[in-house]
Amino acid sequence: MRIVQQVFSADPSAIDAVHDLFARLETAAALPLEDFALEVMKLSVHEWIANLIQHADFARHNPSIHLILIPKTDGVQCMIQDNSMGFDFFHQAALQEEYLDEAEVIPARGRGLLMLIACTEDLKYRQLDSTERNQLEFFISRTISFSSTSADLFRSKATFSDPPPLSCTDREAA
Amino acid sequence: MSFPIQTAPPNLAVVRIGRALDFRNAAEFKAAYQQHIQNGTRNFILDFSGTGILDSTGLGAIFSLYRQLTPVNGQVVFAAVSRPVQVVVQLTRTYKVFRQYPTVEDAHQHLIGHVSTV
Repeated sequence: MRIVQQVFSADPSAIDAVHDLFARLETAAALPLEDFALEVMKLSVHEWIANLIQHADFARHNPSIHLILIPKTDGVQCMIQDNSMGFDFFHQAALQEEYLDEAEVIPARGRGLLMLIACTEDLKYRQLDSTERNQLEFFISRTISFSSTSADLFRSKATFSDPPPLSCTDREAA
Repeated sequence: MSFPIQTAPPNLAVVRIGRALDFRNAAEFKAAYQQHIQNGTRNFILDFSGTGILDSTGLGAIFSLYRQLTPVNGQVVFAAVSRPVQVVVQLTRTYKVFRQYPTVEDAHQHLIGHVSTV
């Protein structure tokens, strides 16, 4: 399987381009990921690029986002590079964690970083030494279960606790 | 992008989410349901048939709706959940909060029963 690379602009149109890319990759079975893992990969890329579009400061450069997907024997390594000013990923994630218990006063957003941390492996964020680019890097295993990746990101007094559904309409139709 | 909302008695609305609910249109979604809450709607069926994108911001907007309705005995339920939506629901464990039904009609039947017993 080949390395997949694509450059996106840092504006909302990038989101449709990301989903178009993953639709093509799914059709071509171009990534060694089972269905659930592929959805998690797509969601992770979406969340990070959405975060860059909404919050990153690209003031000094022509904004660009470079996605690199490297197929491995047991999953896919993902790297997302950008030329923004960067930001303190883990500090922001810690703030989001604090906000979880204050859901009544904090707007119902700002959980994307926690979702990323919960559903990926070996997540790293750093500025690349040789350039002024920043890189988010993580791994998605070929087979993952939701129990190992989920997190209670919308804490509430849950009204019931049905077991997670095992199927959904897309799969039933397949 | 818009969110067609079909109302039905008693105090019930079906929101067709469409292709995406994410950071790009979450505010529009909130404005759409807010108007119906002000008009007395207390129960919402979110129809996810054909929805390819639901992100953390979109789910946050749904959670805002849930928070507004819970104190007034309202409900938010999901219908025809697509695979991408199911993955987000599972990752965030929000299946504990939002009941799911295979179809809008099934959800409608449940909510009619709920409203009649309140």
